[in-house]
Amino acid sequence: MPTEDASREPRDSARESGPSDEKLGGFDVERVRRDFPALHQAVNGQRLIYLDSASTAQKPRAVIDALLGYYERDCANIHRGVHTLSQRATAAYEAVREKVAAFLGARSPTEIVFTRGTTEAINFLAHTLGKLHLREGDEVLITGLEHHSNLVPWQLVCKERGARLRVIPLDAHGQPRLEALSSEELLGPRTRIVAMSHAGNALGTLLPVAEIAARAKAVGALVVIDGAQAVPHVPVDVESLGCDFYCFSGHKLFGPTGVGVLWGRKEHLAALPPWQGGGDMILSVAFAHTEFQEPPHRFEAGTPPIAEVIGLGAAIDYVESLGRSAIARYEEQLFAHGREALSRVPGLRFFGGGSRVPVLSFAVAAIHPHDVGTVLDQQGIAVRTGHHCAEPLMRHLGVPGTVRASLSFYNTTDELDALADGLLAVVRMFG
Amino acid sequence: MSAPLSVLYQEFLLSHSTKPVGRGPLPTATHAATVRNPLCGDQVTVRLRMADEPEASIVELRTEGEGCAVSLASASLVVTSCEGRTKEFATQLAASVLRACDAKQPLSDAELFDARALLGVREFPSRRRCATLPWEALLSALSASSAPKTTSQS
Repeated sequence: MPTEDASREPRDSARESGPSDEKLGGFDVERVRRDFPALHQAVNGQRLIYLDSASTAQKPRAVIDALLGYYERDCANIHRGVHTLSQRATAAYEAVREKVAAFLGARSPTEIVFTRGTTEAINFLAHTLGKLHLREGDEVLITGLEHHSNLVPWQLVCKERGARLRVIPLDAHGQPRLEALSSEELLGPRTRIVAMSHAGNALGTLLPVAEIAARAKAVGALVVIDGAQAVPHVPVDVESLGCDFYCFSGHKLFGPTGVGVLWGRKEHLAALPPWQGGGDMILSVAFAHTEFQEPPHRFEAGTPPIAEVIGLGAAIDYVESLGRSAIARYEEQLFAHGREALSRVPGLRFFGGGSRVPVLSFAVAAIHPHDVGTVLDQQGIAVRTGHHCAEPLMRHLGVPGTVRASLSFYNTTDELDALADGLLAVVRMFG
Repeated sequence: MSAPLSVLYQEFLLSHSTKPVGRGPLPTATHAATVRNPLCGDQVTVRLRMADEPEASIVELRTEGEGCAVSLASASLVVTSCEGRTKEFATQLAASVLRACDAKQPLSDAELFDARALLGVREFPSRRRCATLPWEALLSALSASSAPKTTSQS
């Protein structure tokens, strides 16, 4: 994972050995890029440079083929039919549950619940944990860098239950100020739930989640981690993080949209009431009473996103085939190259610091991010501009928004040099 | 620079964005409205002082708020186009600008005066609201009751 510590960044040696990306950590990026059909297109007459993977990642051929395979051969509902297609679909769907459990270091596949995405997972938790644990005067603690999806659901449930939403403040680099946990009595006997990102979406900040989780557990709070931005970049082991719930989205992990994962400790999932009612989550139904399934099926009402779950399985296989540590090493060097390339743009100011996933979040002089984004798009360069669904963080930074280039292992150093050139053109135009 | 880009960021528009006219507060405002673009978080406040009937003209017009080059220029054009004009003129012009910036609508021959410079957004659907936000705020302010009132629309 990239850090601010320049002495550890091998960027000089990487540069001296030439711009050849094959040499970056022995990672054959050109071969990898061939697996992603969408990368090979022209946009506005220029070759596409996709630097918005934190919004959604591009999909490898293996994922697209898995979706096609389900629809062309195994298309049937799951857990319902005795016929062969339904059995095939059920087996493929449930196999992904085992795959995800192994991917997260979970003890059992029964700890894996499929959702529509991270947002739905957090809303599910806010609703059910809120009902179960939040009383008047209780507190939910989040951090100042949360995506709206890990803020608004808690705000809603706090209001409903008469609980108080508290926030760990940030320092100038956008890192949470842990000393405030005790100095401002943010964490204490009233704290029922601590919900935080593993990595922030706007600046890529990696949070010290294990440390915060340990302190939260010490006061008896439940710990929820939003892993949407971390899972594509860093190996995750939920047991060693010490959390109670962890969630992520398939589409940021090179999988399809419309599917996400919620991991929860068996004992916590078992205690949660049903959320949505419907088919597939019941044991028996009568007008007077319904017996519910055990987790995880209790929480998967209705026909789930079957194709998408199967596609997510293919995405995990793909990521594992590249190797998560090889990905992390390559991305670290890519990030270092990007920092250096962009530092030749006059007036460019980076936001964020410390340990990060490969996200370059910046402003160019006083030029509005939207203007930067439009001019880059005309050069085929896709970046995200704006508040990144993290308005409280933008207010903390004192900017209306930032330009965010979020990197993935299919990006190259050449593309980051082109981004720097594109930004120089922006400066010429508005500077 | 690509052709659509040079139309969007034409010199006239850039000159309005770098030296916007009529930015600042208006303590004597009789009408005001704030409109926010949830997509980018930018917001524009339009404040105006209306003369008493029967003329119903906009004596003073000021805008405030953060924004990109397009929205700053657009706010400036609201001021230069509508200050000193009647409520009826401003309402009609604002409605014409909103329609003209929408690429899904055919371009009519409604007179837009200097606000013509905003039509570059027709090639950039994701930037349409940057151009329309100040005009939406103007319309909202004009339709507000005479007490200075702030409304928020998303």
